[in-house]
Amino acid sequence: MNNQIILALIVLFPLIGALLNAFVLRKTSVVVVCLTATLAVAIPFILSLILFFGSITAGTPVITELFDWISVPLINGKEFNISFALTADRLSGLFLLVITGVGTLIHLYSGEYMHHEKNPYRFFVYLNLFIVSMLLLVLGSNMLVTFLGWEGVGVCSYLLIGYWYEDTANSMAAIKAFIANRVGDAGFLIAMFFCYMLFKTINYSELASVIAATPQTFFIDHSIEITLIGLCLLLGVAGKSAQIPLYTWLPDAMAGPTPVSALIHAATMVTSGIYLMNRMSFVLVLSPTVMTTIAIIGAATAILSATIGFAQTDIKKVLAYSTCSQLGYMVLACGVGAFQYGVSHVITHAFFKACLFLGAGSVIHAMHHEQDIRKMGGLFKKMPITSITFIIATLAIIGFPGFSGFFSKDAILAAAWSGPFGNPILWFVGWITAGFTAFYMLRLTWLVFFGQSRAEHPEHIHETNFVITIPLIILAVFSALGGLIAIPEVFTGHEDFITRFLSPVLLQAQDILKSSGIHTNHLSHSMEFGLMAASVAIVFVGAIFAVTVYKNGPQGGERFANAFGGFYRLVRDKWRVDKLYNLIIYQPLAHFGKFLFRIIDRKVIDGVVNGIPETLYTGTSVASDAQSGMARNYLKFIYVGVFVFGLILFL
Amino acid sequence: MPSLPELGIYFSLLLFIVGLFGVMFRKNIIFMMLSVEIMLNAANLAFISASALTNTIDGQVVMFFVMAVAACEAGIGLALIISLYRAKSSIEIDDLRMLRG
Repeated sequence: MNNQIILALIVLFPLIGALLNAFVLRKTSVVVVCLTATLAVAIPFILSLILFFGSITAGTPVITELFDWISVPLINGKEFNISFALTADRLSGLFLLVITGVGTLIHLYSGEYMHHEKNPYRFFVYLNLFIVSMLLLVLGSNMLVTFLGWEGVGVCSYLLIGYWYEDTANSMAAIKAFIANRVGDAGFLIAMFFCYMLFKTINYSELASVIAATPQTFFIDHSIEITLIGLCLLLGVAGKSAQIPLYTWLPDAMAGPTPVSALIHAATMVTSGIYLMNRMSFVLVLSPTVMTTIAIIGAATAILSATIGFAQTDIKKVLAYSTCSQLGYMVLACGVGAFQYGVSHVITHAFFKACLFLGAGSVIHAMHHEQDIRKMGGLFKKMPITSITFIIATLAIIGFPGFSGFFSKDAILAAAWSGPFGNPILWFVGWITAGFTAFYMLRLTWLVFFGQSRAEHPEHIHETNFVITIPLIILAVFSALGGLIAIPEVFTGHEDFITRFLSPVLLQAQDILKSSGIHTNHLSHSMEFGLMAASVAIVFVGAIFAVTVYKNGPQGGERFANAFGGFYRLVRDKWRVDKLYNLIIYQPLAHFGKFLFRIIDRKVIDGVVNGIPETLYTGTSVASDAQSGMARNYLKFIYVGVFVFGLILFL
Repeated sequence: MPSLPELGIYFSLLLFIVGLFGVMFRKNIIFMMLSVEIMLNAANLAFISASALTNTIDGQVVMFFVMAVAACEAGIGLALIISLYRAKSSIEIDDLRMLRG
């Protein structure tokens, strides 16, 4: 079997799984449905491994052209051609492994988590369709195929957030997510149009070669368009990867089932923005304005959502804000020019955040759908496997030395200081955020797993079964060890794995940076150790502070909250950003909509539509009243007619 | 003083109006038929008066045709009224509204 066919099969299997579940197996038991769906992702995972270690690592991208998708003759005699082609290079390969690998575990986990549902097949169909879309997103050879996947994951996310659609709140969250994503999608579309306008192609490899062949003066002449492309792409990224100003959908998206939160809203879909920035790195670096904006947005999102995480009481909300915050780190990495560290953080984050979410799901499952951390506590003794895996993932996310998050986050912080667009201020924001992360994650872990149990029926809580714990264990192992891909030079003496691995993809961006005179400032080893020590220090401070405050349960936090009164309320209300959006965007639109409904729709359109039959009805009822069936009335008509006729003749 | 044929014309107009009012304001179909007969006869009177005034025979010929038609009409009309009465137990014109639109 050659590589092209394998690549096509990777996308095809989840699609077949979705179709099978949707049309053939819908009435069968949850076990059959879940196994089909899991296999439909597990087989692509194995195929991805074959492809990854067989060809991609060797350096040759695998390209499969499935069919000519769009072919339009243009006025100037040329032809606009988009082929439905898939490309797996090193960047796509890494995402491929994460999507199918983590996806397999989460499909398996869902079988247990969703087995009480009435129609579980619906859930698995959506999940498989999501995998198809996500794979198209990372494998597309041109922006349009990527956009197809980009839209597909948005739709699947919408369907899955609103999975329990009987509850209005869930439907609202789904609509919110979808609309926020649409705003971003519009940005991506506009960026695509500009790309075609400027470079006459939207194929990534052609785009790269066109840009490489374009003289420097062209970019100077068209700097406004290039900046616009970058900013529109950033809008797209902000939509999908939950960055300021569009991040508000992600915490609400936690209304969906927990496996969905783990797969879509933590491990894969939200990282598609990072993928896109890597893929388009050679366009983004053409404009320093864009890069600086990206870095600032990333840093601001990281610190803003970390502070919101302080005051949330819903276990999944805390994790959602931490996802926003970690995505902020990744965007920051891309913005400062260290694209590869964005990817390494995507990978480690996929492991530890999926593990955290699945752990949270396990806790929620055991607590019979209780999500309030104030009602948990003392679960360590009752659920040892969930607890240990959750704690490992926590240590990974806060960047405890040796765990995966430590290396990937530290690489980002170092790049924030020294990267091509780095700045000590960006480093400082990231550094503070690291402390905040340690605080809210330790608060979460402590309140859930330690101290006295605050549940109403603690005796009913017990460890969940192996279908849930096995994915947890696997993810915990990777959370602990995943950092190996980004062990910095100071420890090993040679460049870290991810930089070397992704260098073919990012080479052009680096060349452009070099030719425009922007260099990476090399940190001295002592400086690097210093930064590392600083971040470890603040992590410990944050962690110890959290444990001290919440030692005796949530009431410790209340004293703390009272001391900070107004600030605490502001943070608890999520900086009132939702209220602000409600006020400045939703309300005017709603009023405008009501105006349209009342005046245009009710009066004008309904007026015309209802007016025509009403007029006809009135007219015909007059005519039909004339047919009274009373012979004397008819006679009157006859007489009047004759009289009038006679009168006319007479005159 | 108008001549006799002229008086006939005026009288026929009077008769016609009597018939017209009879058809318009009577509810009983038999009376309506009688009124129709009166109108026909008013027409006949007008025809023969006109014939006398103009010294032609046409009006008198037409009058015979009209009398024949009136006889047929009376026969058919009465037969219809009888069968209507059997079906509806009424010969009030306002009760017969089966053709209402």
